[in-house]
Amino acid sequence: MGDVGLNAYLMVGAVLFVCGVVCMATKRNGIGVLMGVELVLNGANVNFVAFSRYTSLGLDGQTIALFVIVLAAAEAAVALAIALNFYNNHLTIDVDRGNELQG
Amino acid sequence: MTNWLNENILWLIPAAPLLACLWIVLVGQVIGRKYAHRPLVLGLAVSLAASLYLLTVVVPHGFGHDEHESSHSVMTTVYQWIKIGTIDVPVTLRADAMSALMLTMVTSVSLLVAIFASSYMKGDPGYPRFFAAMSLFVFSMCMLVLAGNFLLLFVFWEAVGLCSYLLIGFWFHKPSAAAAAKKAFVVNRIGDFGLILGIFLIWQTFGTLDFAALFESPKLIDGILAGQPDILHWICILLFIGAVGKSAQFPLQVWLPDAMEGPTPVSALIHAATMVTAGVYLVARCTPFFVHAPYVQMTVAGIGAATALIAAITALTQYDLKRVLAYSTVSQLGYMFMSLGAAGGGEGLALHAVTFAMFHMFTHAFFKAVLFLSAGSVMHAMGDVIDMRRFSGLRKALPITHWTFLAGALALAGVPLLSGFWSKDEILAVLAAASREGEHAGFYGIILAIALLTSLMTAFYTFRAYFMTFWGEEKFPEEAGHHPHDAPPAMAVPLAILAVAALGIGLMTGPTHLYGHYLHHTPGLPHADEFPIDWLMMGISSILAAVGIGTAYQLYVVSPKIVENLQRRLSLAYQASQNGLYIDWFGYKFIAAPLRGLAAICEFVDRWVIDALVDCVGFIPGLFGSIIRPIQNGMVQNYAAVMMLGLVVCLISVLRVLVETH
Amino acid sequence: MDFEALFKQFLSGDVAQQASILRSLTIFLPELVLSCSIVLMLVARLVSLDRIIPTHWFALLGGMASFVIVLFQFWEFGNSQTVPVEVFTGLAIHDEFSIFFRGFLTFFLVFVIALTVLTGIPDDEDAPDFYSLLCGAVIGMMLMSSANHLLMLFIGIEMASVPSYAMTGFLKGKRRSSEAALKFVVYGAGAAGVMLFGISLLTGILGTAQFSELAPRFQAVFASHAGMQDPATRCVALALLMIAVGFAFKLSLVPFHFWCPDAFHGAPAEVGGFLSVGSKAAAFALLVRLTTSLAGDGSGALSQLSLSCGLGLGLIAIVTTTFGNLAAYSQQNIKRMLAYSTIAHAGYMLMAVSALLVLQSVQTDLVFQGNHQENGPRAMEGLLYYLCVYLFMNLGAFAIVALIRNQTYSEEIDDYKGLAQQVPVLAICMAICMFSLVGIPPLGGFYGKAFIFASVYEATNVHWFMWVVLAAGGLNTVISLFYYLRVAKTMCMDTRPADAVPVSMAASSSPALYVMLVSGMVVFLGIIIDPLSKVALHAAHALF
Repeated sequence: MGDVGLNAYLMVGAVLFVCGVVCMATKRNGIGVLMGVELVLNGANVNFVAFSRYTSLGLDGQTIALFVIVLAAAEAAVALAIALNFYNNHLTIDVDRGNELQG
Repeated sequence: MTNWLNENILWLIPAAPLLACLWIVLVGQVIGRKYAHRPLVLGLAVSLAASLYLLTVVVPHGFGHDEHESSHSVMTTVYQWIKIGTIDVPVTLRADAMSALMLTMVTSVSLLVAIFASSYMKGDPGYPRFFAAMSLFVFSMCMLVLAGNFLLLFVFWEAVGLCSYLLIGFWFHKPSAAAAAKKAFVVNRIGDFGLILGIFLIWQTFGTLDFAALFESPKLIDGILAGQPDILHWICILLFIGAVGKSAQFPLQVWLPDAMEGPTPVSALIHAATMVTAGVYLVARCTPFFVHAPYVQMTVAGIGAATALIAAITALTQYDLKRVLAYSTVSQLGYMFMSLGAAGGGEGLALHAVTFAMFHMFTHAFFKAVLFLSAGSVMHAMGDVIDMRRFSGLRKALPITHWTFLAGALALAGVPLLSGFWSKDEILAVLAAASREGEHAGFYGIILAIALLTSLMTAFYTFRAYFMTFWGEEKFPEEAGHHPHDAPPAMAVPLAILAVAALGIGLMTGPTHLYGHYLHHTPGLPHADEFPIDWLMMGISSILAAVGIGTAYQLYVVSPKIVENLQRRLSLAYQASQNGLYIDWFGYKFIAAPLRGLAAICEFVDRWVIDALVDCVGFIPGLFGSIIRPIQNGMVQNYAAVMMLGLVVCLISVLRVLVETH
Repeated sequence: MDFEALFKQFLSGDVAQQASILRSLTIFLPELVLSCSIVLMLVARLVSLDRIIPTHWFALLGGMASFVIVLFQFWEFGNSQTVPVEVFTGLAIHDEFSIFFRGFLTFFLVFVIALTVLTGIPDDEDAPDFYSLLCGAVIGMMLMSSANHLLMLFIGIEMASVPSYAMTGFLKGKRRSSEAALKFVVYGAGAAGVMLFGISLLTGILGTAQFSELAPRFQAVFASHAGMQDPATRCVALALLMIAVGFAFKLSLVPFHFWCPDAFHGAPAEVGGFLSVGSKAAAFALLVRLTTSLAGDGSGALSQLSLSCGLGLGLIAIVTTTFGNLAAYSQQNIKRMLAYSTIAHAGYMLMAVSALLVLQSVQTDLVFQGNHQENGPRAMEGLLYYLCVYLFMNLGAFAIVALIRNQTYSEEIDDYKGLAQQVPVLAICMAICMFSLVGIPPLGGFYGKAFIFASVYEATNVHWFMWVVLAAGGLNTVISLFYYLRVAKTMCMDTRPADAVPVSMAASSSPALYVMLVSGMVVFLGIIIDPLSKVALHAAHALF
């Protein structure tokens, strides 16, 4: 299998990141926003792993990626719990329905 | 142990009364209200012991040592208060010979007055409050004396003023007491204004406020004098304005007689023995400045003389026993300033002028305290009546009080060999020396004449009060009940000790030069030769005292009719004296009333101009606030959009910076 | 950090390396104690021990114990002239600065737990959850303050944030609370994602994640590529900007502040108090550590970087302070007002960081005579002092809000009218906190501000823009006067309406004593300045 080089991986990472950001900014559904966050985190993870393969970052990159996966899981769990709580109170998870707090 | 003591003795002196104050405030209000005086007495005993010990630390050679080598000052930085950049305000305590002597005086008189007050104030609902305020006062006074820089001095200068306010207005439900407290505070403010300006000017000129740096190295002052010869005049005059306020000198003397509304122990301690002498202390402390400002010294002497004369004239006709004593205090403070001012008479006089002023302050503290406390004892027995027309002939009913008052009166009048004689005589002598030589001899001649005249009047009014109170037919006011009782032991013992001090302390420390030689160890005081004893002035002042006492005896014991005749004949002069030469009236009419008008204008401006501006300033941000608030509309998507916008702006600016720097 | 070395250490059984791990664990003891108390709390509920011993005791004792251990570490540092050590193979660093913040955070934790006990916001059922989250968040903040590696930075931030999201939404069945939590978590997660992407770029280009390596690597990258135009340099700039987004979120800097008012408004006041102080302090610790290591010794390209970062932060500080103060102006809800005030205060504190960076950029040029070496630590001393005062004054304000809410069920400023007549203690303490937040002498807030403005003034020597920062700081202080004093005025000078809910609190009751203690500390820090400022300066010196 031929080596595609660092830039290709970084491109994938960047695409994931942009998709994630766009998703976060445009989705009304709370779960959708959280999915956008996951995309961003994984975009970063691709970067880490790629850098660890091609640069002097070494094993550090891999380890960071592992930690990030764990943290992302924890964050997702809490976020989903909060979304559920929101649903219980508002009977929707459209984030723009929560507009009582303003001004 | 000795080392430990030497290092820590300084903060111990103020700490003991401070602890007493805290104890009374925190615990004494609840537990043992009747024994609220105990912490104070204990604290003051500790302070007194520490002060006495300090005397030996500051001048290790001992008292009799007659050499002009300045001993070192003892310093300790208790605490670094503020240090931001170049601003560095340490809380530094500093003691030298002058402050050690002053501390001994303050703590010993305070201790005696505190014991006296423990009985005098018995049964007052504010008993703990009284002792708390008094502890706070002694603490502040000690700190004032121990302050190592001008800023700290100013802080405690204000603090003693505050305590004085609290204690004059101790019976605040009495309108006259509340008004007197306010008056004292406001009048003092004028002086304080001068003092703080002076301190600013010192900072501006010298770049430091530290006493050690300012006073112990003549080079600094010489350097400044070379560049700005006039600046010291301004500094000195401003500092003197501060002293005028605190020490009740003309034209700010109006507050002190009114301050007698406070409890008598307060009058004795604060308004006779200690606080009011702070002005004298300040001027004496700043001698290294004042010696370079001869015209200011002449002003000092002139103000002192005017005050002494006016107060003595007023005291001649007062009927309120405490007011007589209050005017006498003002007059004696005038004496001290005359003495300080005599330093302008010649190079060699500065040291002696300061020494004699401080010495008079020292003896005055004792005999004036005994006079006030005796007056308090009279008041106590007469059911708080203090008008001398309503009682007389108390000699038999109040024997202890009679003897102690007599001792104080003799000392004040300047009867030979008693305290007042030595100190007053020295002041007269130094004034006489100033009037003999130098370019301002004529000026000091006039001052000397006023001093002699005042001396005569002092003897007269003191014994007028004495004879009116203790001689003549026995008469009690109805408030006193049938059998007025003399001072109980807790009052009698301090009275007796103070009376003995009033009689003997001058003889003990004056002609033996114990006080003078000790004081000469103060760093920064100029050097001078031994001052010769002026037999002429001694003779004159003895005669004046005798004449004054004799006249009083003639007028108030032998033939009281003459007094009534005189009152009728000279009613105009009599009225003038009775009303303090109308200075108060002038003050109200020509200063207070215009000020009130000004205040009304200010109020108008404040309400309709400044307030409007402030409201406007307050309104504009609110306006902006309501403009930006809609951004926070609660919509998540909207927030995200703004955040993205912000990010993009940041990104563009970063990239622009990168391109530009290339 | 070198993970290979770490793994080998575990496997090799080398005595020296095991000793190093043991040493790391000893240093980590405060965090371990807190972790143990979390475990204890959860286990206690399993075995129904919490029916006998209230859960808050576990948390309180754990917090106190770790505070004591930090104190001991501090004392050890002072006594034995210990040099800073990198622990866990360089992931974290143990120096005076981290000790200062760990002490600060554990101390704060104790105070917050005490407050929640007094106001009873988590009921017995929820207490183990709440205190676990609280302790967990504090552990995260402690990690932030001692981070020495970009991974630790991220872990710390996440560990501090995730429990905060949950605590914000802790009041179940409250619409506002759930809304606040959702908004908070969405922004928090988004910002964390962006930040992580930035970290990935930075570590990749510089080839390291170690703080101490960043500056030299940056210089190497800068030298090897043809300056600023190069893609690699641009990428670094972009990465730094993305990391800055994460910080801006944590510090609620404009325009990343939106979560803050909504979250504070919806969350219980106790949680608001915790977030406003704790997460701000930790984020500042981390920001300062990262920026100082990026600035390095301030030579060559680093000087340029440091100066532009400093000026950029200065600009953000101005915008943030102004925005916070203006928006706080006409708020009706006191928690919302305090949230905007938090934003404004983050701006003031950011001014100190900005001044620090600007001053650091000339560290090696001997342009200024005098003690310019001292300027950087002085700026940090200001920030640390400010944080300490801020702890008390903000916590005091939130505590009073919580105590009043417990009786009136209202957090509207208008409902505070005339409380001075019914609860003078609360009114006076609130007034003290408000005056201190404005920065009126002789309260602690004044000296905090004075220290910071003094170092901004020093920085004006380097760049004219700092004059603008200084002016904005001064102007904002004036603006803030009005809305803070409005609260004090409402409480103390208005009369209480007849139909208002009566409030009562004995002056000797424990809530009143708590409030008096906290506001007493505000006064104390305004009078006795020196000890704390010395400690702060000492801690600041560890950074340079």
